[in-house]
Amino acid sequence: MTDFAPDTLIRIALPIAIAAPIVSSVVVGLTIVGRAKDPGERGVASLLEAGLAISFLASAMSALLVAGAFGPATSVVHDYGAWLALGRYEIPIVLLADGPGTGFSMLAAGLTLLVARFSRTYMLKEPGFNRFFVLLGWFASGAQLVAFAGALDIFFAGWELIGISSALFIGFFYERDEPVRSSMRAFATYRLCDAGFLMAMVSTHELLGSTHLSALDDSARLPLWQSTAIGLCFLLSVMGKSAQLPFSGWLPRAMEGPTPSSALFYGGVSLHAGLFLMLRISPVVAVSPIVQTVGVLVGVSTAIYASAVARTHTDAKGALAHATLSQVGLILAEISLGLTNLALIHIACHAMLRVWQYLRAPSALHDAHRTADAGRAVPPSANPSAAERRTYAAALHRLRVDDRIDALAEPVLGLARWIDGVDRRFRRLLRRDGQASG
Amino acid sequence: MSGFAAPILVLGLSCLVLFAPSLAAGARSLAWLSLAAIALLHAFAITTGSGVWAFAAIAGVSALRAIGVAGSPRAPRATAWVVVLAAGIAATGLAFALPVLAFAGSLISIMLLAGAAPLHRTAARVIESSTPRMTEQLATSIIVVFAHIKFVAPLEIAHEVAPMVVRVGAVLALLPALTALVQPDLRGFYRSAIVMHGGMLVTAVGASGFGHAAAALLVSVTMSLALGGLGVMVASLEERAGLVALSGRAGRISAFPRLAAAFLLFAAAGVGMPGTAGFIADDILLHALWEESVAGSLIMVVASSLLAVATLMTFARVFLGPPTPSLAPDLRASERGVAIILVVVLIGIGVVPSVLLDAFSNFMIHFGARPH
Repeated sequence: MTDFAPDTLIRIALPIAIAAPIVSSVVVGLTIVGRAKDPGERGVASLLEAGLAISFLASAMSALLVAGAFGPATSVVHDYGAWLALGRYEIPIVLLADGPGTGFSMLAAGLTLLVARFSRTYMLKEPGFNRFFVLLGWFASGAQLVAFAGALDIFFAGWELIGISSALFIGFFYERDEPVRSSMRAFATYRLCDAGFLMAMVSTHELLGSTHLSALDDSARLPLWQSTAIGLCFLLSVMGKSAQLPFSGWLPRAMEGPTPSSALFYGGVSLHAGLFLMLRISPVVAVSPIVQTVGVLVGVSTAIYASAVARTHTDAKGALAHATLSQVGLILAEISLGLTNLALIHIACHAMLRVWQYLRAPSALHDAHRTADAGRAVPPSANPSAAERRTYAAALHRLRVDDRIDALAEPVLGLARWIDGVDRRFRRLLRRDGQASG
Repeated sequence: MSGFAAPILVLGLSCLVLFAPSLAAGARSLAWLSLAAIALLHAFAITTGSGVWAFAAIAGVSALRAIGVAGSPRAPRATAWVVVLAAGIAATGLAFALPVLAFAGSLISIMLLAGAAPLHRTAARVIESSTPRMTEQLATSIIVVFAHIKFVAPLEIAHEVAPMVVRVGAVLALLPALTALVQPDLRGFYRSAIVMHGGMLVTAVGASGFGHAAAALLVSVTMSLALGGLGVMVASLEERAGLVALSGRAGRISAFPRLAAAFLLFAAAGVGMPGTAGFIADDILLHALWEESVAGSLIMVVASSLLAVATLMTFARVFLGPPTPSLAPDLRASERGVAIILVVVLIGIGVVPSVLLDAFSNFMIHFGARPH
């Protein structure tokens, strides 16, 4: 009888929720590589949808078990041993099935499944149909890892999978230059901001003795500067993933990807994954007033910036991206203020609304005509004040945030060129024919 | 018994990297003879109980390489002789109980073979002369790291200079990671990636001085597999397209989809993609580094991020963009086979790292390594 105890069931359900999508991705990949004949779009979509459906069912099962639907509520932390153990250092395979985790998992699994179903028709006959579905499997597993991770190392693995698949989706139409450039920008932002996550992860292990998320509960016993440093490192990573100021520039460019992936990533899950990390590290945020203040300032300023930009954007997806960003900024402020339950509800409702809006975006003009809104543009002010004109111009140029970031990158590239030049001269000195390689 | 699994694993992995370029290229029988002799010397260096003989065998490997490259431009041969000299110094230091000499010789051998700055000129010349030869050289770097851990890391000098070595290693990784962003051609990028990982390896070897021996071995194995595989792919691409400039977007993915996929997988493993050995190696190295230098670990994180950005930029320039037709075929069966084997091993270590790390740990306990 004990085999069917809720604890046993959830121990099985959690890995299935995580592994099913990536396993189906691998199966699709091997089928394409291994067979002379293409399995066909229908076959690929069905295989992936099966994996996503299994993941969703396992996720729903976990949620029910955690809620105590089949008896007493089950234990929250599930330890599967150590991924590796080396001296006193180990990467634990710990999954955490609590309310926020199962909630985020169901949201991610449900939205991914819906978007996959939508894409089966939307992406039909599109070059790269198979690639789209394979990437969807990677992303879904990454999102489930993030949702159920009980240790920072596991969380980071999922976090990276989401980041890599996001960059590959943005550069999906790789024949054109602009999607590739946008993909580079997004990836560079993610990777540089993830330096914060890595530092926070290592310092958590060294200062709190473990990378278990539960270890963060002890952050109050650290000196304030240490907990603040950890919190700020995490916040940097969140700002990159959730496109908060000053790292917002990649988001409108990310709309170069296919509409379903934009819906899933920037309306539904990826942008909110940063906020979910903030929820997970809320014990660190709670003990550091500096982290709270910075979180609120970043969130509110992003919300104001994004809502101003959204009003001047001329394309539907770009305006929607900034509208999404303004809400994400508000949610970040909520979490920083300690309103975690409100933030969780806000995340779920916002993600579902935005996915729907993104998926409808290609029909926006048609919808506008149908509802006779097309001719009802807001008339401009007859005599806008200087402040209004300046605000409009600033919003139209997105405060030139990208230009400022690029200006910061230029000296770094200049330094790189200088070092490379010195290196070439050094190697040339040591050669008889006076030529440096490369 | 478990103490002997590590040498066998290390030897197997180094042989895999050593033979990969020749397997991929379908080399002539003479090349196989030379490689078999090198593999035998690798086996001897790993199994011998004497540090003197281990480094003498490593010197022998480099001497063979110097003779084997007869007829090629002068510098690679000179490069191989410099390694012979460094390994000889390490052997002499161990023979006459001169720990400073042993440590210096061993570290210089590792830096020369792995291409760490400022001794990267030698690796740069090898890459310029023949990219696959760099892959073969990386196979030997695994053996030297193993010998270092077994015979040199337990010396007091290794413990004393470890803080300095890890800090210097971190800086040595950062500079080439920066230069990787501005390389004008694919070989330049590959050279920068090698030199950056050389810095990482120096850090890891330094960390072995205060007990992180398994981390050092894992970093060397991962570096050899990932960058060795990348070297094979660079050679395959250059065989088809000549020297590859990194200007604009060349759109080769439509002509060489498998080559592009393999290139991306090796490059991603090199920058620590989850699910590959690189992720585990980076993670362990960061934790090891933190113990000695927080600033060092921050520098290493930044270096790794910069190389990741440079890697994706390079991939985009080489493979993405408007499709370019090519009459050259995609990866041949032999190249495909080598790529698949190396990728499977990289993913295998990434998913089940305990197989390798447990063997390493048991080996260290067996040889009474310094605990951390």
